[in-house]
Parts: sequence; structure tokens; C-alpha cells
Amino acid sequence: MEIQGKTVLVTGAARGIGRAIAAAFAAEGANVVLADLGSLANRPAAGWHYGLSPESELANAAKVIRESGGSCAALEVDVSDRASCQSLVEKSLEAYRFLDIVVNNAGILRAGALADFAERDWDRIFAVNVKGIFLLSQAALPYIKERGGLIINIASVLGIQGYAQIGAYCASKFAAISLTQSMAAELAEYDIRVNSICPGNVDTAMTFAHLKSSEGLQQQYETETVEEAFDAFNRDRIPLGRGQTPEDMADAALYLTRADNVTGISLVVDGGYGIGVS
Amino acid sequence: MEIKGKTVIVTGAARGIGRAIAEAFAAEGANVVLADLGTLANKPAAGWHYRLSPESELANAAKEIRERGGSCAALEVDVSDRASCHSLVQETVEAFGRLDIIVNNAGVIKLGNIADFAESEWDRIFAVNAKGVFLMSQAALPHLEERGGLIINIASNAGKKGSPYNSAYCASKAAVIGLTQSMAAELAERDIRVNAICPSNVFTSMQFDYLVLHRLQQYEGQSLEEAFDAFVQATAPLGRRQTPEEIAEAALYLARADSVTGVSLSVDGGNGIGLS
Repeated sequence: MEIQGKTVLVTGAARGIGRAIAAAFAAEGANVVLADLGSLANRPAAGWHYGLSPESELANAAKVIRESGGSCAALEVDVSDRASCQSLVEKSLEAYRFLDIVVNNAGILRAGALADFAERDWDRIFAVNVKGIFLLSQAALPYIKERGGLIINIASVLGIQGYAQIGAYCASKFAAISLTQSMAAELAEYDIRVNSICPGNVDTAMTFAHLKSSEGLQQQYETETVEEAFDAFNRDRIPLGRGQTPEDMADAALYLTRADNVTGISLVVDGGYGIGVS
Repeated sequence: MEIKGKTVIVTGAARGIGRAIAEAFAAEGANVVLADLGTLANKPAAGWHYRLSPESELANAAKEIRERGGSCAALEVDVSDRASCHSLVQETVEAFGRLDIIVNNAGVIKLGNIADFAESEWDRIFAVNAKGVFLMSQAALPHLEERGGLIINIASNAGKKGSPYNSAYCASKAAVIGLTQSMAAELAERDIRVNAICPSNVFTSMQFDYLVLHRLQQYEGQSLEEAFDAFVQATAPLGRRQTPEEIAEAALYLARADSVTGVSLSVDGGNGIGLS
């Protein structure tokens, strides 16, 4: 698909991977809707164990794209809420008339032993990471059917193999990959392609919040900061010895957008962390 | 990896997917070695039951790249022969002074029941499709730049799932995926990335000189190309064939994707959904 002139909706776009994807599409001439919780992050229902993106980050991400000549809008969404997803799609259409690409990137993480993992945390992880894809895709489908279309789900290498102490997140990302495959098979007749990207270890707010909550990692690598623990883990566990960047994920998203014969895949961008599980 | 100025060897480059990959890298400013059997196709050992690429195709592929301003050389190789692989690498380094990327694309196919599949054909399929990747990679490794090299293996969706009457080819392509993963894990410490691309339905000479003829009797009355497209429309979710250029796009993405190693990137119109 030619990117120039298309409208792309990116959730979780205020920071991290979502923001890099939004910036990359804008740089290629797309109209980009940056969607994130914004002021909704203050609602108790959206509350979480670490700081979700505040309103100011969303506004700033859009401002930076505009300053480099990109076309974008910043809109609020809670992807776990059907009405919120539908309103986001409607506002995107009001702003740009068409909707071509949806990047389901919003996601949350909480580590912890399954034995005493809180049910409400389980529910929230699945509400955002899995049902969010379902709800937003469902809201967008009537419109992206109009001229081809593409859905990109940001899953994870943890959606291909389960790991201890992070079971809820792994299961939610497995579900995201499965949903990708089912949607790809189902929507191919409309020439809508659906693919996943599976990042490995990316230096995002979510990753660092996770590292902070798992003190074991800092102890294991005897580091002072989570940033150092992140680097030590990458050197130790990732074959290429380095973390991935949000820009790596944006490159993958641009490739998948242009790859008109690629659907239903999970593109692993992980420095080799998951070799053989994918 | 920045592609401009790098040296790329592509095997099976005289036509089809290999040729499109060679053209794509040349268009991005790489020095490309197009490697194929050339005159070696006439050797009895390289003989096969459908027409392998003749000398003229290799020369012509290189000529067209040069006419568009690309930098390339055409060299002969039999990837199943250790000495031939070493000499290809040697000549490449002599021609361009360095080696950065190898694309192991050369491959052969033969359908047949496992019950009476000829051992000689089994051996030849594995010699080219699997051992060829091993031999070429081993020959290239000492010459790949000390850090940051890349190996791309053209596997197949047939390497992710077996199918009837295609055992030898499927098993050889599964071996390529296994080799890709092992090499990726092993060579990461040199920052050498190793990835596979898995095409599904590409209308190359492997298809039109052989596969379509032997698989698609039910489409009698149509041209080979029509029969092929009807087959793809009936079997692949997106309903269309892949082009050699789409496989080349995947190769360029993998060349630039510095954090991607050990993957098997399917470019298959959804044919392999759910295969890992």
C-alpha cells in the first residue's frame, strides 16, 4: 500500500513504540491520528500500577510531528471501551474523511506470579491488550473496507512463548497473535491485511516500569538503575546483545504497510531473543 | 544496515526471485554478484528433470542491471560443491574488495510419492537447497566484514508445513529454517544476522517449467499462467500470487532491520496463516 495520503490511527501513540510509529507514518506523508488515554488516564477505571501516559505527552507528541511538517491529530481513547473506540473512529473520519490503517499498539503490563495474581489486574490486561484490538478493529472495519486497508497489532515475543512471572501479559499477547491470524483469514476477501509485530525488549516507559517492579532483575545484574539492568539483560539474554528501539518497530510497520502480499504473520523484531519460537 | 556500497552475493540470480533480489540491491547502490550455474548447468552432476538456468540468462540478467547503471558481476557457482562456493567468494572479494551480504536463493524441486522417490533426487534436492546454504555460508563467513554481516536464506512456506507428494522439498526447506535459526544464534556475537524469507506462490521458472505442469491437471484448457493464477485464487487468502519483486522488498527490509535475526518472514498472501 502506498502510504502517502492515507489515514493511520495509532493507539498508545503518546510515547514509546506508538509514538515512533506515528512519527514514521507522518514522515511518509500519511495523516496520523495519535490516540492515547490523555485525560482519561485520570479516571479510576484506567488507573494502573505505573504511570500511564498523561495528557501532556499526547499533546507534545502531536506538536513535535506538526513541527516537522507532519499532518496529525491527537485524540483520546480508552481502547477497552466500545463507545470510546467508536467515537475515536468517528472523530478520525471527521478529521481526515478516510481511515485506512489501524495500529493497535496500546498495551499494559504487570508482572507477578500467577498463584496470587490479582483477578482485576488480569482483567485489565486482557481488556486493553486483547479486547482493545477487538473493539477498535470492529469500530474501524466498516470504514477501512472502503479502500483496502491494514491492521497492525503490536503483540510481543512474549506472545509466542510463555515465561514465568509474567503469565497474564504472555497470555494476552498470545491472544493478540491468534486474533491477528483469525482476522487475517477472515478479512482477506476485502483485501484487508492483518499482521502483528512482536517486539523483544524496547526501551519504553512500560519496559522500565516493569523493570522497576521486578527488583529481582536489578539485583540479578547488580545494577543501580533500571536502565543499567535493561542493558545488562540485553547483553546477557539477547543474541545480538542490544535492546530494540521504537524506531525498529516503526520500520517493521512501514514494511508491513507496503508488503501487499503479507498477511497473518507475526514479524518478530527482537534481536534474536525468540529464535526458534517464532 | 546501510545498503549502498555493500557487496552482495545472490545465488540462483539468473532468473526469478534471485534475479529480482539482485536487481533490488543493485538499484539501492550495492555491488551485486549474480551467481548461478551458467555453463555448469551442462555438467551431468547438475542435470535436473526440468530446465535449469542456461548461461545466457545469467549474462543477460547482469547486462540489464549494468544498463540501468547498477554495479554487478556474473559468476558461476554450483552451491552443492565446496570448492565452487569458495571460488565464488574468492572471486567476489577480488572483484569488489569486500563481502557483506549473501542471499542463499538457489533451489530445486521435484514432486513425488515418498514410497518410490529416487534417492538420487532426494540427495540432489538436499545438496542444493540445504547443504548449499551450509557450504556458501561457511565459505563466506571468513570474508564477511568482521561485524555486521547478513545472510538471507530463501526458504519457503513448504519449510513450515509438510505437504503430500512434496516431501523432499518440504524437508529441505524445513532444514533451511532450522539452519537459519542455528546460524542466527551462533553468529549474533559477530553481529551477523541470519534470516529466512518464506515465499509461497511465485510464478518463477520452477513453477512454470515444472510445478504447474505436474500439479494442476484440473485446469486443462487454460494457459499455464491462467491455471497458476486460478490455483492461487482458490487457495491463498489474498488470492494473488507473490511477485519476485515482493520477495526482493522483504530482502531489503531484512537488510535494513538491524534488530531482526533468526526470523522466517513469510511473504505468502496469507497462505501460511498460523504456521510458525
